[in-house]
Amino acid sequence: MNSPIAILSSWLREHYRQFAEVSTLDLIVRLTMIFLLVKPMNLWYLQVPVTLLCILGLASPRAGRSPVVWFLLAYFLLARVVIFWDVVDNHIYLLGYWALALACALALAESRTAISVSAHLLLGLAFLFSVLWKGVLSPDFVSGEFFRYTLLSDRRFHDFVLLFGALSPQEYASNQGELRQLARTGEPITLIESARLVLLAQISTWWTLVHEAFIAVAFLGKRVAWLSKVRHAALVSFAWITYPFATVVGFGWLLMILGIAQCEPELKRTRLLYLATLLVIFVHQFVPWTTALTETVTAGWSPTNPPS
Amino acid sequence: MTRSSQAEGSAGGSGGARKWQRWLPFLAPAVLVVVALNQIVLTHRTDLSPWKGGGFGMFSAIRAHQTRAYLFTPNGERRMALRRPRRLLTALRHNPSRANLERVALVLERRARRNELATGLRVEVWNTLLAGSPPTLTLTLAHTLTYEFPDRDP
Repeated sequence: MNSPIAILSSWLREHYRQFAEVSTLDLIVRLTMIFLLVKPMNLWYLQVPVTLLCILGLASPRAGRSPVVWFLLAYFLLARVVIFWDVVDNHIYLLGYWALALACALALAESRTAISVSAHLLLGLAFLFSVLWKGVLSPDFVSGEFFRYTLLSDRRFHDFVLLFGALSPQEYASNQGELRQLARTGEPITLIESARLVLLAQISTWWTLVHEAFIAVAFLGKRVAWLSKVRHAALVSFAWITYPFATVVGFGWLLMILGIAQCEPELKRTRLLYLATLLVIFVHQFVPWTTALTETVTAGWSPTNPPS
Repeated sequence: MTRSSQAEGSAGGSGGARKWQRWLPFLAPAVLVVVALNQIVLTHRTDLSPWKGGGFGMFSAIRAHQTRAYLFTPNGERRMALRRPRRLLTALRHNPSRANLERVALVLERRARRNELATGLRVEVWNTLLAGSPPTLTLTLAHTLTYEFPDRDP
């Protein structure tokens, strides 16, 4: 009789073999359609056709590979961008471009090559403009002020601040109370800050800038062979470092789909790594393990008993 | 799922790729570049947030605009609760253009009609500034629009 470990190992091997045989094009089409199904569109007259097209595409592989279906999806997604242009996040723009790229690629004979080129450029350009904003156009970022302010005020960084910023939960709660007071009365407020939090803001600033610049160069500078080779590691590590704390699930998911799309067909383990990262990002919104970790680690912390 | 044994191409012409087809994979990236450059221009000409508009400037700049509105009544100014419409208020915070200020003012006017004595209202957008150590946050008035109700005496 086989042990449970042997059964599990056999099951994993079998499914890995099946996964390795799935075509990249089918995988990215399906992942994108699942993403569109779980992502609300805000307007019913966009939500209904997008949902129907995605169900059709998931039920029928032929429909999923139809350029007509993808041109229609691109139309509805870009219509949302046009209507809510000053409200929607950047990944909603990227999602529209991605649907357009899929439509264009599926209309060509060399679909696989075409979508790889589009994904490569979309990833590189998204990071290039991000770096341009952070490094050149925004004075707040390089000075470290942006991260200082964000770590103290943006609740998405709550876990990160408590784990690494040497603030106790009580001090953090006090800052949140002050911020509510600022919104209510408009009177100036002073926040509690630690020396380690200032250092953390500086490290976050430069780490983000250098990491994003490296990804942009790795994806756009295809002629430098070694850079091109390490681009997968750069993108996956960015997701693992960023998304457990800055919970922008949609962006993380989309970056991983684009990562799979531009991954060389022979790199099956790299493709699996992208898929696993995507699943971790997705699961994190339902199982916030960083919050649980933070609560465990900071259980005994207080202003009189600060973290060492 | 379809296996990779199938050829990874779904369509194509029998007479070979046309010239314009070579450029199709570059269409979406080209749109990204045009929109992102336009966003950079807009943020410098108007007060559009770097976070919005498709320029990938998220997490690059402190953007904590707050909105307020005051109703003019015979007893003085009264602060209005600003919770809805959420989309419009979000748009105002990220893009405090005259058009968005007017849209919000018109929506608030309809709400203010319940107060028969109100003669107008003012919409304000405040910016948050961070300075010093320990950090002090202050609000500064960035944009304002005063709107007199057309059919009422001030």
